[in-house]
Amino acid sequence: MARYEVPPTKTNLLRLKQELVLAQEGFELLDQKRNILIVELMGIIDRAKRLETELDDYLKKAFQSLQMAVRNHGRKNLNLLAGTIKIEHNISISQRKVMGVPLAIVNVTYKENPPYFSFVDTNFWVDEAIFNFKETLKIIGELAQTRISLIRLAREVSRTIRKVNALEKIAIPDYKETVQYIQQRLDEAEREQFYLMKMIKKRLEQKNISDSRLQTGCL
Amino acid sequence: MQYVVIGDEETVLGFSLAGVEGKIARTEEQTLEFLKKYISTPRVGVIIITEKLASPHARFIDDYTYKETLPLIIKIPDRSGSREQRISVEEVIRKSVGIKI
Repeated sequence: MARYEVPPTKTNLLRLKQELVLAQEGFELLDQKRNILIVELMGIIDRAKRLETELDDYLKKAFQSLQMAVRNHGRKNLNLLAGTIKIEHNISISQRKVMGVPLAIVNVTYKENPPYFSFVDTNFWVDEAIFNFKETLKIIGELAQTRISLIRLAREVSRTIRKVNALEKIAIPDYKETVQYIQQRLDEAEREQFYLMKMIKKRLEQKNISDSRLQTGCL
Repeated sequence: MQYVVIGDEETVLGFSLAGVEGKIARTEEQTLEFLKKYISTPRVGVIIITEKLASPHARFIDDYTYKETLPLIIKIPDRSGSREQRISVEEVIRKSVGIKI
C-alpha cells in the first residue's frame, strides 16, 4: 500500500473522500458486470462444446462421402458438378450486446432449387456429400456465433477482473490510507491550534491581572 | 451475406458442392492474401478456414476476432482431422476467468 503524495489540507481531504466514494461505486458496478459476464459465459460453454463435437462428426462424415464421390466420378467431373450447384446461403448477422460486448447472432437461410444435375450418370455418394456438407454448414453458422461470442466474452471477463482487482486491491486501499493520514494530520493541527489558543488566552489573562494590579498599585 | 472458404483442395471442393465459394491456398502468403481479400469484401459474413492454414496466422486471426465484428472467422479441422493445435473452449475460459471446468 502506498500513500498518495498530496499535501494534507482540508481541500485535498474532501477531494480524496469524493474520489474514494467514486472508486467504491465503480468497484461495485464492475463487480456486478463481472458476475453477469461470467453467468453469460457459463451459459454458452455447453453449447460451444456440443457444437464442436458435432462439427467434427459431420465434417468427418462429409469428407468420407466426398472421398467416395471423388473415387466414383473423378475430381474433374466433381468440380464441374460443383459449378452447376446453386445453393444460396443468406447469412444475416445481427448483434446483441451483453454489457457492451458485441455478440453476433448468425441466422442462415438457404435457397435451393434441386435438381442440379442429371440423375443418370451420378451416384449416391455425390448426393450424400452434398447433403453432408450442407449439414456441416448449418453447424458452422451456429458454431461461428457461439465460439466468437465465447472468445469475446472471455476477453471482456479477463479485462473486468483486472479492473476489479486494481480497484479492490490497490486504488481503494490507497485512497483509504491517504484519507486516514490527512485526517490524522488535520486533527493534529487542530489540537495544536487549540492548545495554542488556550496558551495565548492564559497569558493574556495573566497579563491582564498583572496590569490591573499595577494600575491599582499606582493609584 | 455469404460463407466463403479458404482451404486445401479437398475442403474447397467439398464446400463448393454445398454452394460455397472457395479459394485453394497452398502457401502461407496465399492464405494471408485471401484472408485479407475476404475480410475487405462486404458480402462475406463468415470465413471458413482450415486449422492447418490458419495456424501460421493465428495471431492475425485472433486480433481480428477481438477487434472487428464482421466477418466472423471460423476454424475447422481438415480431412486429416487434426485438432491438436486448436485451443479448446476450456483453455479459453481457464485463461480468462481462472476457473477450471
